[in-house]
Amino acid sequence: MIQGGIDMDKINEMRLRFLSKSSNESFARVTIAAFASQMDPTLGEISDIKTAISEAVTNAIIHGYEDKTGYVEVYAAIYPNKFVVEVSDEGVGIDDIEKARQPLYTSKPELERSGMGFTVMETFMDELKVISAINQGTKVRMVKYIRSSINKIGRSE
Amino acid sequence: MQIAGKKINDILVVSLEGELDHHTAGEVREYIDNLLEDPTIRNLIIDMKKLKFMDSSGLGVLLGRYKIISRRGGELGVVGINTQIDRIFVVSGLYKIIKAYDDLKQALNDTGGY
Ligand SMILES: Nc1ncnc2c1ncn2[C@@H]1O[C@H](COP(=O)(O)OP(=O)(O)OP(=O)(O)O)[C@@H](O)[C@H]1O
Ligand SMILES: [Mg+2]
Repeated sequence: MIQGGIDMDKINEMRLRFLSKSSNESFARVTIAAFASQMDPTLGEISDIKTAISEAVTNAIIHGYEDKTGYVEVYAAIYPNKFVVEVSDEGVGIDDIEKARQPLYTSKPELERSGMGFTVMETFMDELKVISAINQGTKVRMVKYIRSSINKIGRSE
Repeated sequence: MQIAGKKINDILVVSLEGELDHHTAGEVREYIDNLLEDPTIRNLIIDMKKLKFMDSSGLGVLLGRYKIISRRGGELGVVGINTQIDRIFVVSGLYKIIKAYDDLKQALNDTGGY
């Protein structure tokens, strides 16, 4: 529910912005997992979130920016029953999103990529949305329903 | 990432400790490929008991080594994968080409027909 621009259901949110360096892949995984742990998720749910974030952040670094350096942004929000995470870059963008999301499709087979990143994100999370524009960048939005969290966190905290 | 390797007959055993992602994939790939230059090695076993995390970058590393080993008529096995890595194996269908074992002894016994 949106009221006066503020989403009333939202319990908490955060934003990270870092350079597209591979050393930040584990940083992003650990940080977002620590934030999500407020929802009291199961170990399986946390590990699914970590893996999905790793895929999206790695894609931003290797595909979005290729050999250049830019900023990767990770936004995360906690709702009563779901965890939302968005990974964005301002890189080259994806020309055919449907094709990119196909299992085994990769534009970089020479780098030993297997083309399974989007499939992993789709399988490990409950929702996946990809928004992209050539030379403007890519945003991957993922949602995971954390059923155990309902009634566990106070809304006013 | 901590990597260690040893050769047992025609089997190369590589142990990984840490997290296998895009950041560490290059190091692991180079380490293994360097040892695989020994033409008497036919089989590869990767001990993942101490590997805490792997994503699709790790899939790429495994598939690349699988190609090298199968060209030699050998097998690729993994030991001690955790539930996170098991999920990656299931989604990617890796179990169809890579054998998984609970412990190294079992893997060694089963690999290369010993
Ligand atoms: N942030 C991004 N910017 C530009 N292109 C992207 C981005 N993310 C994905 N892509 C494109 O989508 C394709 C598929 O991505 P996916 O993660 O599924 O596979 P991959 O990264 O190529 O391989 P893997 O993830 O298995 O190592 C990529 O090869 C790339 O062409
Ligand atoms: Mg990928």
